Amino acid sequence: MADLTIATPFAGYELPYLDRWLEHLRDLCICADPAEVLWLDNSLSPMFGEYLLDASTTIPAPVRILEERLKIADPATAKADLPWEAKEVQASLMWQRARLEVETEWILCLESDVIPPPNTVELLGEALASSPPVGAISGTIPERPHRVPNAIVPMVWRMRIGEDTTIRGLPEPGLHVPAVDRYLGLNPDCPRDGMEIVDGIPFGCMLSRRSTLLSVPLEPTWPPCNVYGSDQLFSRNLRKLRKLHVAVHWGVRCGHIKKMPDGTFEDLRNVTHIPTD
Amino acid sequence: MLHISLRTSIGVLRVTTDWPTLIYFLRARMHPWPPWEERDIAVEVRLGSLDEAGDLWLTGDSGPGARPRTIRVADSVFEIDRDSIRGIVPRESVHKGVVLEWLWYALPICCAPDGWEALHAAAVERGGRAVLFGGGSDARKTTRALRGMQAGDARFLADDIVLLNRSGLVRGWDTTLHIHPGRAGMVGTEGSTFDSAGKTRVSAANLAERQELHIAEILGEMEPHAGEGFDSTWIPKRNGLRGLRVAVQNRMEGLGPLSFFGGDIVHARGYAAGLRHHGMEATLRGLDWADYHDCDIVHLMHVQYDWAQEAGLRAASAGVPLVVSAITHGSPPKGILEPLVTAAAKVLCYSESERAFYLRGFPEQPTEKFVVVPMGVPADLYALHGVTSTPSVFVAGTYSVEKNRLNVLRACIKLNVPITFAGPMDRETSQEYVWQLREEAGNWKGARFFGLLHGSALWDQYRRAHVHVDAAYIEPFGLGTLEALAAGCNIVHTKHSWAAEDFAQYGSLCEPSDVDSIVAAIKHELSRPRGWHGCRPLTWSEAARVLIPIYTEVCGAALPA
Repeated sequence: MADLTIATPFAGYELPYLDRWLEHLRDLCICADPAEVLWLDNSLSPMFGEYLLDASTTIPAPVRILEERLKIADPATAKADLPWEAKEVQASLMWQRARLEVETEWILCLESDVIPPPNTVELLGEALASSPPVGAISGTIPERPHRVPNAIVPMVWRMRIGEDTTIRGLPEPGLHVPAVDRYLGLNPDCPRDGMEIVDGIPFGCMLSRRSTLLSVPLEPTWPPCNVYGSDQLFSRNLRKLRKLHVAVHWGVRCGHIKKMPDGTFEDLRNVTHIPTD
Repeated sequence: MLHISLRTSIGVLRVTTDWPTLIYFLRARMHPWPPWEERDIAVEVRLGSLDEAGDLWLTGDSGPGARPRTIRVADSVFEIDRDSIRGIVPRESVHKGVVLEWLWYALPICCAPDGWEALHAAAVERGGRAVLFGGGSDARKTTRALRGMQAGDARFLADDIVLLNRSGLVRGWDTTLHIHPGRAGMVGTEGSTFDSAGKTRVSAANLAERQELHIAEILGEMEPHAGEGFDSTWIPKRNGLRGLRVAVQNRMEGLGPLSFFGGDIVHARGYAAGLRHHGMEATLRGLDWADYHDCDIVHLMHVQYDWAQEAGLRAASAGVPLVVSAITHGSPPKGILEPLVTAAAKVLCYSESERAFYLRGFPEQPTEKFVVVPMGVPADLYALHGVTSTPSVFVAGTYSVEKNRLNVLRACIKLNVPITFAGPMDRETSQEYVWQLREEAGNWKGARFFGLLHGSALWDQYRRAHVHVDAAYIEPFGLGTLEALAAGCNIVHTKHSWAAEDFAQYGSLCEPSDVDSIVAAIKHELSRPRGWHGCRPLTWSEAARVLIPIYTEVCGAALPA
């Protein structure tokens, strides 16, 4: 897919695993042949900027690095140390910037902690191109849910469609905040392949058209409601404003690098199960 | 052309290929591969060098510094673009499966470490050592291995490809058996693919514990698995004809920019694959194809549409015998059907009621022109028969108004039974229709909406479902229902289908416009145990066998004596 940009924001804390991530990005670029790779450097760190500049020469596609200056905390500060809302506001602003900078028809939003399989763009592109009702499609990204110990579930959300509520459950007509239910789950095991329409997908490995991304507002989270992120709001906006659905591709199985409380990194590979409702 | 690294269960494979082949390769071959080696093996496969004789050579090695190996590719495998010197497998290529088979066979040769040779043999383990059965094609290698296994003292090690090193160690490569379909049940679970010699791939139930053993004895004559002039029997021979050359003609892609995937495409592919099992040269052709010099007969899908009529009349005017599959949508007037019905030597119907419709409409035509033939299903589906399912409903097919998914959803909401939809969404009305479906589902959590599913992903859904529902307003046959039946789902089928009478014997019929009728049918089928209920649908291979005498008759009549 030549008319594609792979966009990634960096916060600066990726250094411990960035080499490994770049290796996978190289495979992805060889396979997807993007017109451009767009990196948004939000680290505020000259050292990290230099690292990215060096790394960009090893990517088999043209790389454009843009400096962002959104960081609230010190670059050495781990993501976990930032307030949740601050992270969400930043992430949302980064994707705002990315969608304005992109010049190609297709954009793959790829986060720096997500490891995509090399055929990601082909599979997602094929599914998206053949499904006009779908506006954006994501790979399957494993995540540890808070509620279920020792489980690894896909980052896919089910939201209540009709009623927008606040966190306190009080309907406020002007607010329009969706109630996010939880990770998707009905079947006891994960489908092996195929595209499925869902209610919410993350930006971690998401393919969409530039026009689609530009056609809906990208909102950061609403501060009093700490259950939904900018990605969930994006999925909801796409459905509400454009009547377009979001989907997950069960055959695109990404890895997900998570920082553990003890400072080490865990590489989540496989979804172990989907909790049932 | 693409340069890509594949992480497979045998290691990293670097391939230069094109997308259609690669995607097919990934989907079809990633999972069944045996875990052959722990370490990574980097294989550089270049489809690049073309020699003076016009043959393509493939080179591979097991890593930096290893001795590269080279194999010649028969030009029947690839369409060789002689100007750009590259091997191309077109999207519509009938040889796509063959290329996969070929890669499958070529890989052990390319990536075997130095000192290991790939032999064309079967192997079993007996008393902790390996016994090899050698010989050429059809030397009964597998049969002899099977006999050993059935006697109880041997366990399966490998079939077709065995790696042997100089110190006498034997390693199985292909840990599935390739045997004729009838024998599959004797040794294990029948797998997904047939090779071009008509054999199916079977996972053996009685596997050896270790995959690397010292050799005990060699029975029969050993020959290298492949070498220079590599040309095994599974490569269809263009010159040595093994039967009639049939062109199965249908729309290969959508007529517009979208795919418009449908039952007719599955049907055409199934027939072509089935015919190849019987040694015929069956090729899939698009509608604009008009080069009839390498085919003896054209089998066209659809009788009533302009685009099919154009292709059919072109073939008929070129003097090529024409057989047409009716696939009638609704009850079109005679004028619409007439051009192809007149031009065709045979019109294939899929039920007695469809044939009766044609006999009524065309009393002037000879009655033997209209023949009822069976539809088929992939052999994989039989493995799903009798599995434990959840009390749920599955609907396979297009998201469109005419397929009437909405009323099925309403019925399931009424019954509070989970329902899964799967199918293409690329019809003009799909966008609005999917929206309607999701609006209808609202916050009810029982509905799942999948896109187009293929292969194991689709079989998975059949496996989980208890009931399959097809409540379309118009259905020419209902291939989805037949596949569901083969997978052991109970079926609810629409009354407005030419095959309604046939399906009524094994399941329930419903009136698509009446939600209560669908509710009652689903309720009834949920209360019955899952199963075939007396029907055992044919595989595509078995269904295609019925076509052979029809083709022979048509060609015999049309060809000069």
